[in-house]
Amino acid sequence: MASISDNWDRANNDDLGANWAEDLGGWSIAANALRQTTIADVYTKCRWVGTSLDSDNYEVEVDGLTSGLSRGYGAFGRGAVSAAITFYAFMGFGTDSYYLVEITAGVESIMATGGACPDTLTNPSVRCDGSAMSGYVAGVLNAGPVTDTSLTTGAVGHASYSTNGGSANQQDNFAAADLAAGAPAVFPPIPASRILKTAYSTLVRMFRVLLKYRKTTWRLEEHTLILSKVLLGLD
Amino acid sequence: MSVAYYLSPWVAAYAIGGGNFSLIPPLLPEDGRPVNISKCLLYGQWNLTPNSSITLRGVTGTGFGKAICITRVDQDDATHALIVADAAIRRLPFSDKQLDLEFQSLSGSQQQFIVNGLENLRLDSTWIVPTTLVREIVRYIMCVLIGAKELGVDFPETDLANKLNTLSPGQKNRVIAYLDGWKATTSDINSNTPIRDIVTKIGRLARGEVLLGPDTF
Repeated sequence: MASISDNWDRANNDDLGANWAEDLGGWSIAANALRQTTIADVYTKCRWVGTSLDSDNYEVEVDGLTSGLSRGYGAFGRGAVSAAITFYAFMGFGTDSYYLVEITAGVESIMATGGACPDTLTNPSVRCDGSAMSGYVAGVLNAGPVTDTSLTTGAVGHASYSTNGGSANQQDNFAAADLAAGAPAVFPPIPASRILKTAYSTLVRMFRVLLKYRKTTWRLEEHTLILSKVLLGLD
Repeated sequence: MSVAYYLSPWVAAYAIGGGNFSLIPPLLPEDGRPVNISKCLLYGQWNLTPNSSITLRGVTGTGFGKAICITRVDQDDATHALIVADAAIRRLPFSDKQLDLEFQSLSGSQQQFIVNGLENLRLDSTWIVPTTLVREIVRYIMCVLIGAKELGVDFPETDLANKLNTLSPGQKNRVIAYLDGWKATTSDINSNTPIRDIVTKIGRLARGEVLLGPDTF
């Protein structure tokens, strides 16, 4: 299992560095965040070209916000390893909604509708797991899963619809990780308090099972005693 | 809120904000963006809850295949009523709670509605028997749509009574190769095989679980 990330915390620059390819749109680092400032009213993508993930089953997340329905931000997976604007993505459009989409040569097909998307910072992620695609917000399922088999492999990265340029329209904190076989990936890391809570509830459950087992054993012993008495003619 | 499944045209529209869609292009590009959607989404508001619509379609991003989709809609009664009023959209006569009903447990008119609905959309219905679960019918529809999208321009979207020899030799060979790739039986296919049989084979491929939100088929 591999994981990759970029928090964009570095000097302002139009060059994103060796790990990134700007397939469409003018992407730049500004104020320790990522912006796409040059191409409006179409989908653009900025693709990770650094160390690859180990598989094609992964979750990709970004932070972002946009100020209106005509600007979208999100994470894409199974994207074309070229300048083609083809991928699965989970997109947020500020004041509108989240959408699980398949983009084919720039054309949007909506696979599932998510909940309302605010114009404040949120954390959408797209999960590609075999033929099941789904979208999450801050680790909670928001759209899907839905079966789709069009794209089986490809790259990950940031997607935008129209320009994302300015403090009210930008992206940040890219991360992607392979999914553990048979288990959902968890973003962000589980807090210690949740681990303790889970451990406590597991202990309580074990104790309840033990109690139930004891009660069953007692009943069994009681029934055996009654049966023995009947068989021996003592009752 | 209640769940219903719709067979709907796949249409070009515009996302105009607030979880709403329109067929009419906005005056300014910033007032909406072009999208392809299930026609169900033209009615109601779709951002009130997560997963209010989940769609599996039969058409590729470039427009080939079968231009319909199945949409799982979780909405209020008013929105369902608006969708049902569209004559181009068919509501399947069962909910997510009734997927394990047998076909024979549906009323005669519901059974006829399903059979007619499938046939009108060039989806074979002759394989359905009284004990077929409605879940299997939904799965069949979804598998044909997935197959149509995978085959794209080669999907035989034609009258079910037509014979395989009405396809071009290249298309015929690619369809058979596709079925072979899925380990479907193809030894019984010849030039006189009806398209109906081919569509049924595509719909009944052993492709594992098919997901439509929380429902597994």
